[in-house]
Amino acid sequence: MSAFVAALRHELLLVWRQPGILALYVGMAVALGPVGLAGMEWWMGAAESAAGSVGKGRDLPISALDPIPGWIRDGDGLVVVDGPITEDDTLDEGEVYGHAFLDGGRVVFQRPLRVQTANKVQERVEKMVERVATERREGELARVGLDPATIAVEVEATERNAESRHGDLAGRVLPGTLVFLLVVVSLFSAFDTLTKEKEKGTAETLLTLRIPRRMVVWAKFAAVLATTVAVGALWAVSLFLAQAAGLLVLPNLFGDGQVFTLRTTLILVVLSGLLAAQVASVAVAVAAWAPNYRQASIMSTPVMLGLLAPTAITGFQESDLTPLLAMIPVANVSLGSRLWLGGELPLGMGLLALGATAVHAGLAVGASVWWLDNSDPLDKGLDAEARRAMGDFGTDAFALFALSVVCFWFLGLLAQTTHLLGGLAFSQIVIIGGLALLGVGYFGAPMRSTLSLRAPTPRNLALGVVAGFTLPGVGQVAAMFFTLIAPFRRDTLSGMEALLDWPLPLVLLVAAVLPGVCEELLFRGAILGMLRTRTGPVLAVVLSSAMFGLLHLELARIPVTAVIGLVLGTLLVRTGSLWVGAVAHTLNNAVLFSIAAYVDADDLQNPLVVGALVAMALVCIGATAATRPPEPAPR
Amino acid sequence: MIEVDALVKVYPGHPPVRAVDGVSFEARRGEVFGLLGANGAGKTTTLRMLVTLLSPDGGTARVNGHDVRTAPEAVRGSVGYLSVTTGLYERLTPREMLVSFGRMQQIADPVGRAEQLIARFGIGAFADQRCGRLSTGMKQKVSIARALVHDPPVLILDEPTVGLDVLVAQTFLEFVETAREEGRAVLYSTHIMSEVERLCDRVAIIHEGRIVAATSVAALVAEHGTVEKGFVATVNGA
Repeated sequence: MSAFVAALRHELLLVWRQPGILALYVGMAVALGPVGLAGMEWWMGAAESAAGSVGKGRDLPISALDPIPGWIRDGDGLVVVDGPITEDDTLDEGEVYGHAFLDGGRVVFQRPLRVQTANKVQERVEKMVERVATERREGELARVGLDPATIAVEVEATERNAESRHGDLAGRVLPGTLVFLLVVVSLFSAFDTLTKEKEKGTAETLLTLRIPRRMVVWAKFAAVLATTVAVGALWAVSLFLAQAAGLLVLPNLFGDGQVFTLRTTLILVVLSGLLAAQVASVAVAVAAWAPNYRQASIMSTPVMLGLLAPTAITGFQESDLTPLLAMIPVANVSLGSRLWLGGELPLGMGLLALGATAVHAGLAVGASVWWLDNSDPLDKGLDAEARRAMGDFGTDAFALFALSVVCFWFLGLLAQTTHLLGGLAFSQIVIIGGLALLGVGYFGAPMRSTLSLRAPTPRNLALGVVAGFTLPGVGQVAAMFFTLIAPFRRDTLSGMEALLDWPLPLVLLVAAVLPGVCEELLFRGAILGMLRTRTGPVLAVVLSSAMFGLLHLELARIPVTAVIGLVLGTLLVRTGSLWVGAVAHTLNNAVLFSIAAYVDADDLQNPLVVGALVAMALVCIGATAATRPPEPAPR
Repeated sequence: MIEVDALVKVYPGHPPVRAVDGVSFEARRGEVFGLLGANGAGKTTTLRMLVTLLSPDGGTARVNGHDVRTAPEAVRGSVGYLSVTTGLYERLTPREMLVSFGRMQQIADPVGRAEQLIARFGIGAFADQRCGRLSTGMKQKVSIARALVHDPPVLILDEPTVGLDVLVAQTFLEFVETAREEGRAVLYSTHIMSEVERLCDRVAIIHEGRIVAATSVAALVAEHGTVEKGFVATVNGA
């Protein structure tokens, strides 16, 4: 025990000796807590005043409801219901649900409104009352105490509903910021305590101490956990303090009440502590796995996004799945926060989410400690550097793939939304081709041999041409099979059609030549090239094909592209030249887009088209087999 | 003090590399035992097994009577280890570093021991500056003090003078001589022949993972004229 305490004191001393970083942690907690919430409050206020003011209602009893339903006609767009209104009903054309009642001299229409619809409802209720005034004369209105000269109609979003609506919004934002904060802090401190020690050689100094090795590693884990929990707690406490000091007034988000009371703050601290345990375990695993800063920083982006992704689940409306969502690590905390801040957390659900979070946190910590105990994480650096020196770039290939997926699916798609053709060209040249070259250079693998850049023999080039005309048939047959399981997404096909609005030669340049060169550089060149230094050619082809498929992230396209990847990978290994596959890949895409230019994208699956492609494939294969040495494929 | 018997370390790969292949030697109390070899000969791997950074794939090794496999903590408690890659914490001062390491070595009075070492190695003038700001020579003094914090009977030094200028290296060699006089067993790995001639009583020459010669420095010099000639002749003959 004293050994552990000594090691932990050592770790905490190291943390304490970085005042700049500590200030950054504190600053982030405050910026993503009170400051962020104040910003959101300001934004909500601006949005509300832009949409027109909505009267603040009180929680009135539904009284004197009787006369009003009799006033409403078909076509008023008003339906008065007595009882709770489900949250997800939307304002269909000519239809409004709500509580209408008479309150002294006013007609009040109360429902959980979207701000934007309030004016429309106001208009309709006014018309209704006006009609009563003209058709039935003053008698009826006077009977219920309304003065027709001053018809007062008020449309209210009820206080509780407004609060829960806004609280719900805050509940979607706050967990995300908390997870982001914890992930950043946790990853950074884990890199500092584990990865940096490996790189600076202090790991070796530490591991030759008498103290048991597991104590050293546990102390590091404890330091990361303590830092993360502390920053999470600071986040919650700073929200409480800012509100108590009057710096954070949140009527737009939560109504006028004090939201962050001692009790709710305590709940937030407990939740952020449990979340911190989950996040810190993952961060420590990444930092322990990575032999150096370079790999750790490359891995951290996908890990960060992977941890943030479950918080997006809270964007879903509450449904029958909610108890299941409460079982997903990280998501349950977000879900719990959202329901709680929305004032809609049933006790059972709260306990379920809390219990699940506690179980996840326990499992994450347990698994992390077990792994650290059994994997000698601090030795990894020595081992990995030796491997790299011996020309083994296997782990680098995985890191490069992870990075390319993240870049492609965020930057690439963003660029394509901005401008389809330009975005595609950008994705191919900068993200895919650029990353391939940068990655190989960055990891220090020999460029020419890793990427197989040598020129092909004429015979191999001919093989590439043959493969290029064979692949569309192979791909379409594979697609026919796999689309039985998962059909192509409509937007994939319409994207292909939208692309064909440009002149065909330009389309072929961007959608055939660029992918032919750039995707081959990344998947067959960099990734397969680095993988095979560890695994040998066969497994490297299989793995790189799987990665090639996964980059296309759409269920139906993954197996199809993986099959094509297998062919292209085999071509590279057999011919030793990247350009053979590049020619084949370019021709494959060119054939498919040329056909798509003349038939509907949907008809690519037409039996006639597929039959023609298969026939072409068979002719190519037959011609190759019949002619020795092979000639370029007949058209 | 150090008994190594048929020690083996195999690195996995295609094909596997036998980095250390049946190494045996013995270093006694009050002697400096040299481990000579070219880069990649297996010196560092052998020493890393002796300080339990790596686990052996075959053979046995005992340090101060403790087996490296069954009693790694007792082994590490008896060894002061210093290599090119045993770094200092740049954020800590020498004093903090010595106290913290003393605590982790579980010695009785870490603060007192730190003061004692600061005085002995002349660290006082810079004991409260961060290690990151120290010169190479200052860092080396702190590293030595760090390795001695638990007063180990055995010192394992892996190419400790690499990257040091002549003056600092001189101070270091004097420290090794003092350690011998204090009765410690010193295992000294190097490929610098002049250091071997000056310091070592006996040497083992390691080549491609095997011991190709184990002899006294005097015998090596008598046979070949200088240690360097003896080393080259032995390695070429292997």
